[in-house]
Amino acid sequence: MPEPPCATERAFGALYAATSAKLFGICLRVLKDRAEAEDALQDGYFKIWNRAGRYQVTGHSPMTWLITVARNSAIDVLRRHPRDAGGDARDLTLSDPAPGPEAQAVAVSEAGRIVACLGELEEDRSAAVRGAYLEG
Amino acid sequence: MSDRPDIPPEGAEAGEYVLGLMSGADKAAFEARRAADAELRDEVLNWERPFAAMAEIEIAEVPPPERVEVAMHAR
Repeated sequence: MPEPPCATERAFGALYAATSAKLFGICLRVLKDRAEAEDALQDGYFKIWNRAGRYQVTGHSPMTWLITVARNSAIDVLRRHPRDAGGDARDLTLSDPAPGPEAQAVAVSEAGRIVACLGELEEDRSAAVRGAYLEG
Repeated sequence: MSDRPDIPPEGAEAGEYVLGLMSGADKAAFEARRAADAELRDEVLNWERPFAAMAEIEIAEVPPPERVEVAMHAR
């Protein structure tokens, strides 16, 4: 990136200090390899820093956006170096019907909503959806 | 389970995109449609948001080694 002015560099340092442990945890969970997770984390912050001016138009809260960018960077690294894993998440589709009324009643929060939706799926499908997000 | 597995429920395509289940031409076509369609953009956000919330709650923090930040500043 271009030589940032001092204040900009301090701003980046503050953002990094506040968020890098969470984002590195996510990259590690996706990649299960420290060197690759470090690469993904760097890619993620590079995108974050270069797209910061555009973040407000995405419609996400700051942490949601940071997590989304970091996770997507990790998935990109994973796609370049696929694991020798058992099942391929890309065989999965999401063609189940919408959750029933009970599940919808539980959906008081967004995190609650996804947990409720996952609970409606059969156990192996639920694990597959979580796995697809965090393990590609 | 759906009687018509060939018809995905509303938003399922956005979900497949967010989960990284699309690739190649399908992914490019979806991104082109999303660029022109505010509703589709919202569907993508609605999938990203709860998954990010789940990751924020469930994934433990792991401080990265110092060399990552040093490399960032050099970039």
